Amino acid sequence: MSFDVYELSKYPFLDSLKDFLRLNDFKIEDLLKQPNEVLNAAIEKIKSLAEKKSESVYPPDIEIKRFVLSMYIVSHLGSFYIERFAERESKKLSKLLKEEDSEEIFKIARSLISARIRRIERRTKDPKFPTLMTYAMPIKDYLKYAAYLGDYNWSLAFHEIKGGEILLTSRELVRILEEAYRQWIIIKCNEMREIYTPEIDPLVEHLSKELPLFRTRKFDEKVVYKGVDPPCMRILISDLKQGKKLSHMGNFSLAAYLRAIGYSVEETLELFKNLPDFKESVARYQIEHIYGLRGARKAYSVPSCLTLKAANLCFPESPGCDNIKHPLQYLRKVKDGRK
Amino acid sequence: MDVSKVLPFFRLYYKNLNPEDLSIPQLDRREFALWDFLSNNMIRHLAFKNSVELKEGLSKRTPRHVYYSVSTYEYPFLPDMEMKKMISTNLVFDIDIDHVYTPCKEIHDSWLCRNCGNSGSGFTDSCKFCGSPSLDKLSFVCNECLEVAKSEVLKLIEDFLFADFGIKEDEVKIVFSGNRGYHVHVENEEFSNLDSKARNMMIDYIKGITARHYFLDFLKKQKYKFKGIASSGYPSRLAEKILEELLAANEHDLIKIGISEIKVKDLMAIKEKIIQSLQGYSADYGFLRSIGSKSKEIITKAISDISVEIDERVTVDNHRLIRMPNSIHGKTGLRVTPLGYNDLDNFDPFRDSVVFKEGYARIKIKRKLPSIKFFFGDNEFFLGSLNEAKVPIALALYLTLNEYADIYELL
Repeated sequence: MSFDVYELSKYPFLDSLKDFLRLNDFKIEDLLKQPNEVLNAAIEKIKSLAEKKSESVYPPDIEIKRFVLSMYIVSHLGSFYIERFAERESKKLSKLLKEEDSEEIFKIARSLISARIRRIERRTKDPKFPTLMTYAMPIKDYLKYAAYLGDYNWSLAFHEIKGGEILLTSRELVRILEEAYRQWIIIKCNEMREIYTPEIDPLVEHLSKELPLFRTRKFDEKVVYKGVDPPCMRILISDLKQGKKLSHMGNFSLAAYLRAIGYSVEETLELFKNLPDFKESVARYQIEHIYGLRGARKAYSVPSCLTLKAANLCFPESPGCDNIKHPLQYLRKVKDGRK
Repeated sequence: MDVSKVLPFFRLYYKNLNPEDLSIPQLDRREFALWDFLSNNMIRHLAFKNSVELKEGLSKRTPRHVYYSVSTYEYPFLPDMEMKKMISTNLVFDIDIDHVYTPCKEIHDSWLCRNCGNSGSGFTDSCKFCGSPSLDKLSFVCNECLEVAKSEVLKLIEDFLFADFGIKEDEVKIVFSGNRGYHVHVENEEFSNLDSKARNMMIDYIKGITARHYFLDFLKKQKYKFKGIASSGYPSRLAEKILEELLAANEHDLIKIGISEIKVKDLMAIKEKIIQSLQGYSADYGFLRSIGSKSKEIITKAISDISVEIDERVTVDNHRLIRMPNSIHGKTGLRVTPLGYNDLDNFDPFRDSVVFKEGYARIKIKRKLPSIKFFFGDNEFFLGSLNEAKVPIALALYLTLNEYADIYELL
């Protein structure tokens, strides 16, 4: 059995992870019992995440072990922590893949998404680049990940599709891989959450105290779900409350909606603090912009149902969505008692 | 409606039903719901171990409508949806002719605006006078309506499910809903595991929502380079549709739709070049520039023609209940009929879904029927002259359950 430890340290989701852990007699409970290099490295990784600092680099074997241990610790810190961890690690993957050749990207894609992904070399008219590498991905896999990217460019209508496969450029594949890795981490963390070792309790307690930013935020009474939101906004609010990442369009639409239903900038900002990639200065600037307090001083209106549909944010689950073109019409219908 | 005149037919049907006709995949993991004839209530959260037990339940209760869950559950009999513990959700598409434009609706459908009080005929989503979406509608399903629904089903299956999504013929089950359209069930485990967001993305594609919005936006921004017929998927079908329209149109047709004579001449001069471009991998739609605002209409129509009107809620909602194949539709008396892909061409719902073939009844019309010819069973009827008429029992049940008539004498 042979594997590349350096490669595994960069891409710890590879199939060889199990063999590595077995060969190294990796046991979470042993690592949590007393201070050791891996535990310290894992804590450092989690702290750097909370403090938004870059992490130190360790030798490949420690790097792999600390990744797995951090996932375990994070999974016991709760969904806010899991989402943030997944967000950062998947962004790191994206950065690494941009430096890789098509052979490596292909290998990673087959390991992380599906062994049914194929490479297709296409001829171009450009004499400088006579061939272009494209990837054919099973459409079922594409849907699983692209549905969370929330931009019209990912719509199936703008891609070549045939016989259950969708053709992607290398750049598109890397973005899909980023999302696939984010979802992989969330799934693995949720599985790890079910594995209990008594040693985790004092560590979680200690970390929760030490990392104030990571504490679960209590919602102010004023921003509690009011029960009349259209399904699209209800889902965005619910995702946000669970600390899930929203697409760019999701962030924008929700902020515009909250403004429309009377939330102040502070109230909206408070809600957005649950985003795994939240940066107060950036979010405040953007919210103020949407509220018409910056730039052209013109408040943005809530996008129409059509635009929300295009961004895969429309879930017309309620009869109140029938025959409406704008989410705010839903509220009017509810008020009229015609939901 | 006098329930005592219709209930015995349903009772007899369920009594004689063969359990083998109730072979629903993972039947024991589904929730069943029955609509009770007498109390007019839905009885939910029922579960059955197998088709024999299900048949007995139906025979005992004689429901007006029978539904089952598109999802499978660990505990289908529990009333709380969370506690049921969902396992997976079948991918189901619903084509309901109510949502599709058909020319025949001009003849048999009408609407009344609740906002301004104006009324009109035909297919519309909003009042043609004040634009309000709040309408009371009167609609009838004629033979032509269900032919259109059938062609939509074929488009969905052939262009999208088979060609694009790679779903195999034996994974697709078509069911005539017993009234206004068809359900298409995809029996493929990987598609059953897709979440609501992924299903939403499929719906957007099939209905052409994003395509319509952004292709028009591209035109507005004068972006004319799209993929052509030699590519695949939606861009290829769009180019093919536009080429088809272009080949079929002569100068006179183009002038008739409002393009000026000079522009038509220009267009005709480069027709061969346009055809060549559309047939390639990358197509240049620059010719649309010369026809100005008409290009929007052409693209909109082409996208409508290649898209399919499906009811998105049925596909996205994983708590959905759907009509059970081989049950009777309680508003028509027709059988909810399962079909294979190859059966669809020759299937006539008003002939092949008729269950009650023996006997006649005399009916009294209580709600105005459209004055049209209607093929039902093996006969043709003129709906405008059915009052006090003796009609086959299946038609009598169809009109009675649909609240158009009352049976006053069984013959």
